[in-house]
Amino acid sequence: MTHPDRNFFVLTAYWYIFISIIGFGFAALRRDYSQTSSFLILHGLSFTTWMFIYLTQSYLISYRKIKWHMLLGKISMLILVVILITTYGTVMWKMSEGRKSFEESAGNIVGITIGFIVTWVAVYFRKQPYKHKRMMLAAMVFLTGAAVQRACGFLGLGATGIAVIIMSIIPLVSLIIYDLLLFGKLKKLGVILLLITLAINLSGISYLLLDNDFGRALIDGMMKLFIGTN
Amino acid sequence: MKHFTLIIIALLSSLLNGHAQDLTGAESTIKEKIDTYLVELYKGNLDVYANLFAEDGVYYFESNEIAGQEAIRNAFAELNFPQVEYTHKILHIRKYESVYLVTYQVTEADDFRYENTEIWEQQGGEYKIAYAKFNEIGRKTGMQPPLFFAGIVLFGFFLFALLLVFRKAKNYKALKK
Repeated sequence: MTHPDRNFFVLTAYWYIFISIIGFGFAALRRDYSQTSSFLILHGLSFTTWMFIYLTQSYLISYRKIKWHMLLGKISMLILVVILITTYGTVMWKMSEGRKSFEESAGNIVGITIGFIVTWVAVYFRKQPYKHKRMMLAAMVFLTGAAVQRACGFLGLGATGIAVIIMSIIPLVSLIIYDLLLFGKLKKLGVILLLITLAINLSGISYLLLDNDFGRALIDGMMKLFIGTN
Repeated sequence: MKHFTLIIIALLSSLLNGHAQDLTGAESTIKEKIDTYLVELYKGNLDVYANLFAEDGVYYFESNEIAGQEAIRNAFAELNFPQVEYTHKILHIRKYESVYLVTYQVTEADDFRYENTEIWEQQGGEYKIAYAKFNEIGRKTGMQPPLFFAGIVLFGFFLFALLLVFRKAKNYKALKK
């Protein structure tokens, strides 16, 4: 019998693609790109690439193509940097257009930054597959935060609120159940990742971090950098 | 707390009374004011909305509580409001005790939707907003019935596949013993 990890992590990759298609796919098809910021176009392209890399990586590791997995992993880190920068640019552009409130922008900035950091932590643990896989899964929760919000909005569940949180944590809750069945006991890592995710989502940490002089100066600086005005 | 209770009543009533209702004189006046200020708002004249607030009016915008007409005016001055096409629908205008509860929904050209709940009261012969709450709904669903059905089927398929993986994990553990 093959190890069930092969199926579980591939399945979560499909989940994230499914959510991203609902959240952004339909809007992307209908968008007038002549009126769109280049940040947004690059963000969309890099993020779509990232989603398919995550799926490919899950397959590569399930077929034990370790060398290819490592090579693609290095390339994907460059794409992750592009995602980070273009997300900041997109958020600033939307803010300058009056399409995003300060709170929403702060949430996006902090969310993507946490996703970026958790991904690097996962890379740090790349030689420990158990931790690496689970941390990548948690990183995806943060990286796909906006997609989940949009998907919930499209499905009529509301772009903010409890539905978004529930939808965000489905992969982590699945992970905890999966580990419980696989190891016959509750594993700490999954629970810790879920608790951290919930704490970040429920505490309004983005607002706490950025709704102050430092945060406003930071966003003003980013606005100048990406848009050229504040 | 009083405002919160009234808003709950307004939201529930708007759900139950979404159909057209006969408006009294005061309700018609408020409706006209809403129709007018939305036109001005989307022309970029944000002061028109700010001026409708009472001196001690409160505007609750995405967890920001902005108290006082002056503060609301300043907050609007900083806002780069989109000048786009829109449609709006009054969901509810009704008098409760001495105030009027209003809920309306605005859909912008790119399907972005939000709902405003407002409490209007008479002050010196004029109707003013004592409290308003902005509530983002998100974008109008792009999920038409066939796509929505496809989405549900895919979600069902995902859950089924997840259950299979869970079963495999359990069996794998049993085999390892």
